[in-house]
Amino acid sequence: MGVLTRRNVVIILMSIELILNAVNINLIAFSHALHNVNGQVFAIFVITDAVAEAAVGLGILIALFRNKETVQSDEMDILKW
Amino acid sequence: MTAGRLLRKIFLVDLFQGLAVTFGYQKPKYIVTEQYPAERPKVAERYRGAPRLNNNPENGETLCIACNLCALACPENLIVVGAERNEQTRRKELTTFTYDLSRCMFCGLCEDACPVDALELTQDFELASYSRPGMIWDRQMLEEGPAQAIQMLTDINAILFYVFAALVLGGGILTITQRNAVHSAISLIVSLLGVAGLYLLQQAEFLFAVQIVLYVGGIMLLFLFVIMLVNLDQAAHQRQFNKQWLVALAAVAAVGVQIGYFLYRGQDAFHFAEAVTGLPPGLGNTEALADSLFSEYLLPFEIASVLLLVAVVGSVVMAKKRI
Repeated sequence: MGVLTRRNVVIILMSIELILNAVNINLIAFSHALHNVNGQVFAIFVITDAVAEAAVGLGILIALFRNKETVQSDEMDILKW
Repeated sequence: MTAGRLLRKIFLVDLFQGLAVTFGYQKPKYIVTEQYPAERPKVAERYRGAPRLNNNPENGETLCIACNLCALACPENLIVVGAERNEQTRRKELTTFTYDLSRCMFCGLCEDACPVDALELTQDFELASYSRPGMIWDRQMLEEGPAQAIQMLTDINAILFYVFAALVLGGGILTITQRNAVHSAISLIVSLLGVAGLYLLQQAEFLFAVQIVLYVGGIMLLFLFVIMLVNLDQAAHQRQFNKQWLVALAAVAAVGVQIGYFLYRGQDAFHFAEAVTGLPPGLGNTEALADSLFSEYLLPFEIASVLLLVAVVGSVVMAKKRI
């Protein structure tokens, strides 16, 4: 919901982390209910992915900010400036 | 002092020789520690543990005939048998039965004395109580056993689940609605800590630790640094939500309703596997996870490390001023 609604790119990135955490909770709950450790292994990989994506996303944000001086997603609307 | 003795003194050779002997006696493979709550020790069949008043398995009535022999046999005089005479059958019927467990020495004389095998000492040894009066068992406790402890555990589990779930949901809602980006980040930290608590309740201890160290301690710190760098003060004064927020809200509500409907309709197909009783000793959550990760999922593990390398290089490249 935050991903679709907010203008501020940093908050969009934080909402993506929330989505990934929701998936993780689901995986671990099922892993506990079905007494299978595969869910937790998958959750480790999801956390790894989230870390990688957060790092790269924030790097992109910094590069954009340096060029455009804004973090509002509405104003980043031309592909070449 | 000769060179040899000097060198031996500097490098503490004697100390290491002694340590070698000590470590040589270690045998980590033969762990004999009993992992207590996960596995309980086996007691003998004739072990004298918690008392139990038996009932007739056919009609559920008590086997006790209120003869008072157990109370007479007890060396501590801690059994009190209450009975009243039934006028129709002209027999004594048991009304109350009080057993003071705090003074009992579990000698089993009462069990031996009972002519109808109504009083029996079971193999239950977990008899701790939070209060002195709690150790005096009445008839209902004697017949049904101390099941209250398990009840309290499930209650605490449920309470903690709701607390952590409230943290997660509250933190999430605050994250997407706050005006100030730093407030948003702090709400996300609270939410992630709630998630870590949920992991702990599901007995995923390794992921609980990883979540706190990596997610809260790593990613959220990174977010906070970037927020400070990017200086979102003037962004906080502008419009926060974009133009399509109403459509987004409608779409999210539609998906939410669908998910709720499917969960509601499918709840009967949802049965949990049988509880695994008696885990092999020494196989905690981390070990089981490591077993699986490094044998079955070794290839994804290596690919994940390559992915992290790519991410590190990528983020450095993206954030540099001049490549």
